[in-house]
Amino acid sequence: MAEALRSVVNKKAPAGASNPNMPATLRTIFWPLIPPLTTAVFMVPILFGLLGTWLPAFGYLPAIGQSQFSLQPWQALVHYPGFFSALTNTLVTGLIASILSLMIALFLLHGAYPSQWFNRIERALSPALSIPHAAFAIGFGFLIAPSGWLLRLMNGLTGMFPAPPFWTTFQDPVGISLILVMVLKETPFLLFMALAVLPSLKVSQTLWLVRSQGHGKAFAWRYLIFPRLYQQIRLPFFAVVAYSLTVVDIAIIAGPTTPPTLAVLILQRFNDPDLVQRTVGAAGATLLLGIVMIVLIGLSLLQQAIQRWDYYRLCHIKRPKRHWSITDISARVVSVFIGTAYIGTLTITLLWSITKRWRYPDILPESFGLRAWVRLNDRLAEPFWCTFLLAILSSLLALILVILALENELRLSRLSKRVSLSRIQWLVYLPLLIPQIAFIFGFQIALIHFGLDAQFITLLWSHLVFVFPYVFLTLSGPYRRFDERYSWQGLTLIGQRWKVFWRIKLPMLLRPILYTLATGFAVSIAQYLPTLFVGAGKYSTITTEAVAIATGSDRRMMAVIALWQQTLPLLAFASATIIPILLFRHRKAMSHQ
Amino acid sequence: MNAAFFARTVFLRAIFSRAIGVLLFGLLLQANAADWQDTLKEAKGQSVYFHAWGGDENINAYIQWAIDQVKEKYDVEVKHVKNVAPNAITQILSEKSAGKDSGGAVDLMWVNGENFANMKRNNLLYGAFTQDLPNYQYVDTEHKPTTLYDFTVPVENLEAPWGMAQLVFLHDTDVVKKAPSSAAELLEFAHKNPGRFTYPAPPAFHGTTFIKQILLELTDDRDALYKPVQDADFDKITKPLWIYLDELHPLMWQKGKVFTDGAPRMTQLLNDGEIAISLSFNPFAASNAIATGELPDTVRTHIHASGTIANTHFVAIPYNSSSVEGAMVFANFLMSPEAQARKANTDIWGDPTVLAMDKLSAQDRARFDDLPKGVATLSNEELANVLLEPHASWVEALEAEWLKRYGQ
Amino acid sequence: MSFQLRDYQLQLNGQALFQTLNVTVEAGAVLALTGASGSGKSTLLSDISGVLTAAFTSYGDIVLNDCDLRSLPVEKRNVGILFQDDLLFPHLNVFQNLVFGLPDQLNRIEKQRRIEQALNEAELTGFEKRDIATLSGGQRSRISLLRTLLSEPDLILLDEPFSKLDASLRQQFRPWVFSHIAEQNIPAVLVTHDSTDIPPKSQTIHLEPINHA
Repeated sequence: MAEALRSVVNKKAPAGASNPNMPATLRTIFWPLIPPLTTAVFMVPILFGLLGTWLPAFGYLPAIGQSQFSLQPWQALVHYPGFFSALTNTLVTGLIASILSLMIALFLLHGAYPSQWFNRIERALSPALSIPHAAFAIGFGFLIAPSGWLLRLMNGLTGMFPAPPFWTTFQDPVGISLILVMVLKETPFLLFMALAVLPSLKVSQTLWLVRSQGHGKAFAWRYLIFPRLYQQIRLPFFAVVAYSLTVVDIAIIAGPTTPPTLAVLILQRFNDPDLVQRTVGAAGATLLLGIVMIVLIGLSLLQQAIQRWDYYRLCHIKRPKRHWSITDISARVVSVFIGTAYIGTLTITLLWSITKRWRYPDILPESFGLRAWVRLNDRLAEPFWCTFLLAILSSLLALILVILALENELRLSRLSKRVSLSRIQWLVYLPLLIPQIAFIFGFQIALIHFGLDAQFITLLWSHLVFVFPYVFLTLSGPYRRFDERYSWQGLTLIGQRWKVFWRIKLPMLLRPILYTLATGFAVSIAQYLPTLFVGAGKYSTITTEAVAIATGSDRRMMAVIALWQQTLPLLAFASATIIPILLFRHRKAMSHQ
Repeated sequence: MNAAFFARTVFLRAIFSRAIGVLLFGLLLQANAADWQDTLKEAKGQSVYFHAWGGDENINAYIQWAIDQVKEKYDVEVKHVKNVAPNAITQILSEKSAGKDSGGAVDLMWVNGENFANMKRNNLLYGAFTQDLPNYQYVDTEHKPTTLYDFTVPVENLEAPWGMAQLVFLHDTDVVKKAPSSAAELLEFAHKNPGRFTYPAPPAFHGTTFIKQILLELTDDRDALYKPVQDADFDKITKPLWIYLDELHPLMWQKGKVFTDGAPRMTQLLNDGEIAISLSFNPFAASNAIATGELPDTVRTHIHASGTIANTHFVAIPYNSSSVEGAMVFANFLMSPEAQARKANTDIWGDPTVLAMDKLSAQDRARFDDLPKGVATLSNEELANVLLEPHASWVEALEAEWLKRYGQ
Repeated sequence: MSFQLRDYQLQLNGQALFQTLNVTVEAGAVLALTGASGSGKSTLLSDISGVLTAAFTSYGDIVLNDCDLRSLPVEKRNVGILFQDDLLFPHLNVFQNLVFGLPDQLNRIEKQRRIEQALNEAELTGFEKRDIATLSGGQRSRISLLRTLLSEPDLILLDEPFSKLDASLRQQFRPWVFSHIAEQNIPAVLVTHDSTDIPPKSQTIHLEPINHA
């Protein structure tokens, strides 16, 4: 009877992609849970965190006896000495740094992509990205300060500066050194994100085509490639903008001091002994979020205006034919400059780590010693282990969630449900667009409220919030590009989707997966505020140790901990490169993807 | 009620309660000893999260030593959380916001001054406890009044004295032949050596202390500074300070347009030769830094002839600490002659003791006798020249005015 | 053994893509489907295989050896497929690729024997350990077919299997494929837009787009 019924049903009903093999529970319960689950992973902390910041911003903080809603915190914020200059500092440094980073990244692409030279740049990107911002800023300060290495070199050559000159080369009031540090750190990130989408833009073919029609290379880049490239790296760029406007650690190290940037001012309010100032800090954090949103909307409008202008120009201008070889040369110069800054920073950090005494104007330390290494090694075991566990677990969890989400995307598209990739993209980017300072304090309060604070599991969760987006962004490209016919082929041969997934899809995607893990690993290691606040100080990582040491005066210790902080992510990236090479050493097709 | 009268009453009341305390002390000694045994028993096996600044490896190593000691002696497991006081307060405050009135994450914290005053005002402290600690009897409350008044705020046994601090200046004898002995001479130095002095921007703690020091030196109404700022003619009293700073700033490092964020950064600048005079809150800082190679051995310490601001730093137990007994045991150990003597050793940390030598047994006193002092440290006599911290309310007012004038 | 489509219709957004099909393919015979691109040829194959995307709906019976395929998931249908790309798994060697097609229950020695035999027939003796990436296009195509045939399908679908090969390779590979299919004695469905791909004497259906004016 049932059999007969089924054949009748089959005759009448459309077959579609129903998959009779999959247990009903999996189909009806498991998969539909994936999108809300993954979204909740990072949205719940953000929502609670924002609420926990917004309430104090409007005067509600019962812990200090403030339970009346008012605009008092906002008035106090606006009247805080230096508020408007701090706001200006934030806008100037944040906007210039992010836009300059984008321009330089595009300029390097224009001048050097594709070329042997660019391949060299590409290989240097992961190590550059794995250097934590704060460590880089400190090292860069060693380089350019009035008593820094550059001036010591100059003095060594010319003897012109027996004492450090009175120049303002670091932490200048305008924020030039802060902009420099940010540009040096963000340009590689944008290049990295651009590299992920460039293959789909078919740059070589476009250049070839346009030049065969007698137009210049600049024309091709400016009007044909950049607009499409920008469209694809817009969200990473927005993340850079949000980061530059709200960064705290490097703004303290390299930014202006009186007044500092708004983010630093807010942190000072949060840290003020006068507890009422926390409501002012909360108002500032809320304002900062508003500023980021307004700037991002402004940038979107600007983009539309430029697009319209481009369209007009394309129709009306004579297309330049000249091929500007000068851009090729200057792109090389710029990349050499960036590379030198990194190598110089690393070298001087290494030198400081083995220094005993080192004064101006000596170019090399007066005496060497391994004391700092020895002292730190004595007590790094626990932070090391904690850092490692957090990093590996958060990136693995994020990887599993991301793969589930991407598989669900595939499943939905098989069912022909509309999957809005751009909406997913926005959602995933949210944690990167919302300033950490605007929700991490509130999140902490929420966790305490539910009795979940100071536990490893919630600390892991807070890391996951920031690791997840990067893991998603790194993996989604290669994962979506995977030729699903391989899975189909596998299915006709061995059946069972999960077997096909394990034996075919996963190994074929091993390289991007390992790379993704390394990225997540590096992101987790860099987390400071979440580790401190969500962990309630009970968990120390290499990064919390590094920040603690950076508040002291001992540069040798700072150098050692900064090097440790760079070593872990570097090892992760190195393994991500070496493991596939070893595993697939007899598989030529797997060695380059 | 006039302010002077008010201040005097507060002071008298404090003295009176102390007198009663001393009186009762003898009577309660035995009862206390029994109580202390209970505390020790309770503390056994407890975990204590001790939040303390972790920027100095000497201090970290010292704290680690103390941790090992109490583990061995009392079976109390202390963990050093390398966290600054404001962050620890944020933690406690967040817990209070969420209604977590016990089982908090901070069990003991390193604190003083304005942070203490604010915690006290907002009821974030556990309560009076130091009177129950056996080692508290050795504290030199008579000659070190800052162990009773933290920035003039009565301590009331809410925090246990840990160490003494005094503002000292560090100078490089290669550049500075004669160290300035007053605010006026410092200005003179700046005129002769433009760009070679700076101080941290308030509200950074060292910066605020520096402007308080200058104000104390320049003002002709010092008494007003020891009363709440609300009762004083702020503009009139602080006028000499602003005139002084207006003149000093253009002569400072980076023409006074860039400031450091604290004394640690100034130590680096001193080593770099960018500045020639720096400051510290630890009288042994110079000797220490020379010993580790952080500063050249041409650096020496000096203070101003009028004396310099001194205060005490403490450890306090938050109201919702999870391991009160464990925290007390650790706080008590930190005050012990053994721990205090080790702390005063410049080879280890070099932080002056809060204890009174004449209250110690001969054996304990001997621990302090042979301590190395270091090449760049002033003698005890020189350091005895001490100024008290102004009333805590001045801090905020001075910082706000400074920011208004120089911070925008 | 035979394969049948009965009153088969493929629809997109409720509109039929081509005429209703009623066709039977006997064992050893080839059904060729031709039609313009977008006519739904390949979609029809994915439906037979069991991976039709939900945008499409299909009606009618798909019957293989008297069994209604619709009630079975992909992996139980026993329908092999060969694409224009060889889709050999790049992380596995020749042997590992081929062993994918063999039933799990065979023991190791039997698996080795069958693969060796298959490689012999394909004139690829001793290729077991070779990396896929080191093979020529012709060799890869042959291994791809071997892999499908080793899985002993009851029906084989060919999705323009020759379109990416150069002319001379095509000449050699075409008869080789059809002779192997004939040897296995199973029905085959070939989708192509090149009439020279179609072996002589096979049934050909031209898929006519339906004009929904």
